[in-house]
Order: sequence, then C-alpha cells, then structure tokens
Amino acid sequence: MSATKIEFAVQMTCDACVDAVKKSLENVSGVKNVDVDLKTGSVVVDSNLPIAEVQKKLESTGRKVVIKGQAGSLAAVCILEAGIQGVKGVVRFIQPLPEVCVVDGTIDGLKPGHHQISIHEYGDISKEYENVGDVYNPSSTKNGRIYGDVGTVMVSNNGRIDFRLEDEVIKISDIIGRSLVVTDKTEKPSKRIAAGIIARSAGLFQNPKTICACDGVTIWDETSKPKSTL
Amino acid sequence: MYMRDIEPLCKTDNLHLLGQGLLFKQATVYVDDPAGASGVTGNITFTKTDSGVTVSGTVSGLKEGKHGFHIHALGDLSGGCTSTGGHFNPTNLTHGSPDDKNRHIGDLGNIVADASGVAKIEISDTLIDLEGENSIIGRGVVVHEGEDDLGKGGYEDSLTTGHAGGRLACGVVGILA
Repeated sequence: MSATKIEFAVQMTCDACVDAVKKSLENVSGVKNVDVDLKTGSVVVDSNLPIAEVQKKLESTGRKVVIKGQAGSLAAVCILEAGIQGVKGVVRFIQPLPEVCVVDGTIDGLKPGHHQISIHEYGDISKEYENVGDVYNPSSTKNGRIYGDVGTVMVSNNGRIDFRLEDEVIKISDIIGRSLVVTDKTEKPSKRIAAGIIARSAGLFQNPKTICACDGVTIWDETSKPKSTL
Repeated sequence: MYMRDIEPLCKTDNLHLLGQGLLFKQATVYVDDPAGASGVTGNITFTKTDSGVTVSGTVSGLKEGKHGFHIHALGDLSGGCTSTGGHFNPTNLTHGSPDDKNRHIGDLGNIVADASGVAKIEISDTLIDLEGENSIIGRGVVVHEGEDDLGKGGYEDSLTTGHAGGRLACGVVGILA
C-alpha cells in the first residue's frame, strides 16, 4: 500500500506539545515519518493508514486537528452532504503517482453490510441524486471495469466505514466537478443514500491560507460556526 | 494491492488540463452553510457563451443589502466554508471589482438582497471559464456576510478580500453538462 504525506494543522504552543504530538504517532504501525513544526503549527505525517486514523491519534493528545493539504499536488475531496439524514462522510483522492490514485474515506451513519461507492457524470446535487447522471464511463479502461465503479465496502455494526483503496483507473483531473454516490446494496433493489461533489483541495504545502486549528469546523461539528473571514 | 515505497512525483499542478477537449457548457452550484448556522441557501448556474460565462440564480435567507460573492480557489468543505481557501487568483493580482483589470479571476463583486432577503443573480463575466486555466469547476462559491468594497475601502484586507467579512454559505461548482 502506498504511503502518502498529509499535512495537518495542530494546535501547539510549546515544545512539550511537539513531544506529545510526536509520541502519539510513535511506534504506530503504518506511520513512516512525522515532521512537526511548532512555529507554523504544521505536522506532516507520512503513512499508509486511513487519514481519519492518523487524525484520531493526533487528536488523542487533546488538541484540535485540521487537515491542511496532501501529497502529491493533485488532490481532491468530496463531502457527502446530500442524501439520507444521518449519513455523513468525507472521501479524499490523492494522486501520488500518475497511475495510482489513493481513495481514502470515512463514512458514518450507514447500515451494516455492503455499500457501493461510485463516481457519477454530473456534479449536480441540488435534487440529491436525481441529476447526477450515470456512473462515469468515458472510455474503455485497461481492465475493462466501468471507470466510475470505485468499489464495494463492507460496513460493520457500528455503521462506520474507514477505507483506503488504491485505484489504477481514476485520474483526479477527470473527476473534479463530478459526484460521488454511495449506494446501499443491502436493500433490494439497491438504493442511493448519499452524494457529494468532488472538489479541488490543497496539495501538500499548497494551502496559502493559515488555517488555525482552533477554528477549523469539521462536518462532524455541525453546531459551531467558522470564524474565519478570508 | 501491492507494496512499494513511493515519493510524490507530480510536483506540477496539471489540473488546468481539466476538461480540455471535453467542452463543458454548463456548471451548477448549490450553496448553503455546512455548519447549519446562517440559513442562507441558493442555486446558481454557470453557462458558457461566446463572450464568457453567464452566472444566474438566486440566493435567499440574506440580510437586505450587498454581499460579497466570489469564486474561491478550492472546493474543500471539510472544514466548513473556511477550507475553500482564498479567492481564486491564478494570475496573482490584487482584489478588485469585476470590471477592473487588476482583479482576482474569482472576483464577481456583490450580489444584492432585497427586503425579503432574496438576491437575484444575473452576471456576465469575461474571465471565469468552465475549462482551461481559469476553470471554476470543482472550486468553491462563497457568499459573504458583508459588502465587498471592491478593493477600494482602504481597510487592511480591502486588497485581499474586499473586507467582505465572514462566510455565510458556500458550495462546490459541479459539472452540469
């Protein structure tokens, strides 16, 4: 499994914080390297763990953590915002090599069982899934698979899935502005339950804006309002 | 699945190649507040014409008056509207009015809400595009709390943000056809 570098903004005020952050990822299997910069509040983690898992470890130090950028410079993110209430998630696309796209996601509020993840032609979620079009399939792929057919994941009893796939068909430049759709395959016939638009996100060290981890509002944090004014 | 050690190789951003030869004609965005606080929502469509791109739609739930309306560089909503970054500015100029030569590509000026809080949008812009280097596909649309001073207000942030204040609603520009 490819290792990828992710840059996090972490609230740190002193050298002891740096030690605590480093310690939280010490001897964790899958973590290759951790670089911490106290002055900029930046933590760069090189690992092959799901991003959510690394973030959880960093948060275990009691600090707020926000993802700032990812390697290579081709990166995209999809927030699942349309669909059945209670289903929420974030799926990130990272292209560390021209022929490899890492698809990394966390989705909550699902029923246990198999769910299909697919990329659809259009990025119109104003009527949830009605206008997303067919599964994206512009041309024949090398292994004969439908381009947008990312894969099937198995959700366990807690309703959450953390996944990390390597995909040799997807190119981030092809899928920006299209949509990601989650289909519940436990229903007969199977049923679409969540969708979001695939958006451009910052590559490693590319986010020009200083993100303060103290006011980063995540989708799991629905009641607080971002204070940033840029 | 296979094992190997890799370093990122793609140092150059070739996302501007996005859509080349595909000729997207229409894009759309649904804006709201990911944090659920502002109550501002809207639907906006971008249509390619011979002279540029027409932006049309409505945004509701606003306070009466002018509100800054911009394309931001990223469409990342994982940190609410904050993670959409700054104004889309590939030409590295200062903030300005849509009619200025010196402006961000993403500077679309203000939208104006009437007494019922609804802003009807009908903008024609010659710089934003649905393909190539100025493509707005996959980027963020942000509606701001205050008026965009179009770079002329003399505030510390007039030439970067138009002093338009917080972000009330945002969304990702998606491909429509």
